[in-house]
Amino acid sequence: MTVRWRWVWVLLGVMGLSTGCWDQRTVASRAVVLAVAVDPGPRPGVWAWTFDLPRVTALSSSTISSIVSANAYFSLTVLSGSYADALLKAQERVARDLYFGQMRILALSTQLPTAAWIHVVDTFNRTGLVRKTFYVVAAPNAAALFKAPLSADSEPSFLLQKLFTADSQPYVFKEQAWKIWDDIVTPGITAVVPVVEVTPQQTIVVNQLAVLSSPRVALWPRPVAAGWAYLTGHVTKATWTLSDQSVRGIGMTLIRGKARWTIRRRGRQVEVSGTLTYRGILEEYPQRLGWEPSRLHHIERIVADGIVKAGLRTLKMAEADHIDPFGWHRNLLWQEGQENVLRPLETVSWQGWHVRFAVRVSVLGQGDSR
Amino acid sequence: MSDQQERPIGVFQYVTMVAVAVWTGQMYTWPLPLVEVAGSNGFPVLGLGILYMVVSGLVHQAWLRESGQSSALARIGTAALAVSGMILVLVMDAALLSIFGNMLNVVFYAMTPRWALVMPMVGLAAWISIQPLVTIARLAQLWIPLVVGLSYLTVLAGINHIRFWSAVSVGGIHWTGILPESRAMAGILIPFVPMMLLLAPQVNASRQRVRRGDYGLWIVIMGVLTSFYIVGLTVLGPEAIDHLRWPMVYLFATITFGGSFFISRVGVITVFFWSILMILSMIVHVRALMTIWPWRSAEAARPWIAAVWGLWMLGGSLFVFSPGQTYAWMINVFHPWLVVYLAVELVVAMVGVGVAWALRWVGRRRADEAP
Repeated sequence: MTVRWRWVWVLLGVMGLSTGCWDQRTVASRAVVLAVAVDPGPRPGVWAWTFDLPRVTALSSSTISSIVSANAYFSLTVLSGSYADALLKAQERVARDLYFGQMRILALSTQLPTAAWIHVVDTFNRTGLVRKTFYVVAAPNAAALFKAPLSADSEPSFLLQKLFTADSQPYVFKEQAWKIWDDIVTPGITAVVPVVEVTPQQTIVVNQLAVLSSPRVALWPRPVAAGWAYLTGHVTKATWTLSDQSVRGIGMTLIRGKARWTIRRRGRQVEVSGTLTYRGILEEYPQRLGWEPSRLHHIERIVADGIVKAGLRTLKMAEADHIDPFGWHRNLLWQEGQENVLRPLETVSWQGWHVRFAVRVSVLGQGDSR
Repeated sequence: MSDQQERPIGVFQYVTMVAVAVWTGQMYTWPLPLVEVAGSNGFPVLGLGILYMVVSGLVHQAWLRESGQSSALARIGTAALAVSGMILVLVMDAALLSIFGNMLNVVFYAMTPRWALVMPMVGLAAWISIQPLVTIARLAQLWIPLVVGLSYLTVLAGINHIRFWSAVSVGGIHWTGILPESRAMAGILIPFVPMMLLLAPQVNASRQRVRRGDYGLWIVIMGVLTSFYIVGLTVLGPEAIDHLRWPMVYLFATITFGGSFFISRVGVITVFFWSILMILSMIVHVRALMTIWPWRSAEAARPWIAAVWGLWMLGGSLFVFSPGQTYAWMINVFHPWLVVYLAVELVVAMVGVGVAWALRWVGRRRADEAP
């Protein structure tokens, strides 16, 4: 019996040790970071770190339905040259332990140099206690994203997250932090990040793509960004309004599809060939036009031509900037087993590259009426 | 040997025990060694590892069959092969536990001191390892399918993350550097032979069924390693893996089920369950070692062995191996020696099988000649 009791004590001791008591904090002494924004500071080498936090004590199950954004959340800005220092300063200011297990958004200013972007993304990726699935967004003024008095939602960082998770966007520009980091450390691919802007009407829109080219982040306007989305299959529910004379005003909606690319080296040349397959539905098709196959083919062709044009525009942009946001250089390096030829973020050469792609658009249906 | 006192284990239990003994310590860093050491030559090196495991498995099967555990010499031979491998395994275990404690520190418990994370694990392992073999076999039988199944489920949940099919089709095969690169597999292969030699005689089944179990075991061990390697490559890509300390843990951290509250981060559960496998693999290692205890009162000796082992694991993981440098030391210093050991051990086992064959042949000739 005594031996058995001894083991009971040992087991109790083990249980006591395995709970990780050292890391235990009450909810009131933790500050749950929902989002972090990094902006350029007043002088070089100093950045403004903004932490978006909920007032835990103001939130309870009875008040959660009637949260007023003005007092349930607050953001805190500290100036610092490093993440560790910023963390410490912020913790001192809120008198709480910062907790990153619920982090949703990392917003980085487009005015920061690319090196700063990489530093911040890498730091957040390296820190083990930060989850890796938050979204990275770019903004002209990152901290302003959390201060927008939005009517639609109680909290800007919630809205930002929903912007990406609710599939409300035509193009999938969202990328989780670990993928951005992965693209940053892999040679032959340029990471792209959606640019989120607050409009004068206090809504949040995604119109541009930030391309992490060196030394500064390049901004791609919406048409070019759309071309990137079509070329890489990042389209979820685009629409296309036809302006051709015979079919003016008809809209093709719910366009979605995929892109397949093969990359082959032929001597000094590299041949890239792709097939983009997109399908859509004609929602506003007027009855008077009839439903002949030839007319449908005509519409399909117009949309396909539009996609080709958008794609070519994007390719030209990538060539001019010496970047590869499609990852084709990376794929070629892997195919040839030469990962060490390029360094991460190095500009790529498009010399000798021939890109050829075909677009297939098909009309799936025309809605309920005929 | 104290085989007679032990209750025998089943074939499936044997398979799960050897599988956990081989995998677990490695899973936290896998497939980092392969990517770091072999680069784009990963698949040939993996293939070489599989080939070695099959050849070595067949040779040691033959050794167990030929020696038959009958003569004292055969038993000493088996014990020598097993113990020499086990010494290396125990050194590696302490190093891996040091890395594991560091992983828990970095990813989960920042403020908890490392000794508080490592000590309960070693204590629990030491306590369970003095139990009868069949108790441990049942633990393995329960946990291995559960955790491996959950890991696969987690990986399946992340299948929409697969981005780089081209990463699998890496480069050509470079045969020139394959020998130094084979050290990437040494850590996986080292516990394999001792576990087989020590645990196979404990199985209560016909030799044929044990052999069939062995074949299944090899397929399962290498199947899991290969599939996790492919998943790592296709989701993260070789460069990202090379930048990470625990690629599989990182991979699981990337998997979320958006809206669901209860299982929003299933990867965390998987990683927690892996702690159980870590403990279980330590238990199997030390408990298998206890089966060769040559004294009759093996049961009385077990707590002492467990205590000595526990002290080594604690001291080794907390004081001998520092988490920062241990991985580099293992890859650059320890694993090359493991490759040498594995090669020598295989040759010795082959010679042993040859000698046993010859002795049997001579014995049969003598028996025939006798009037």
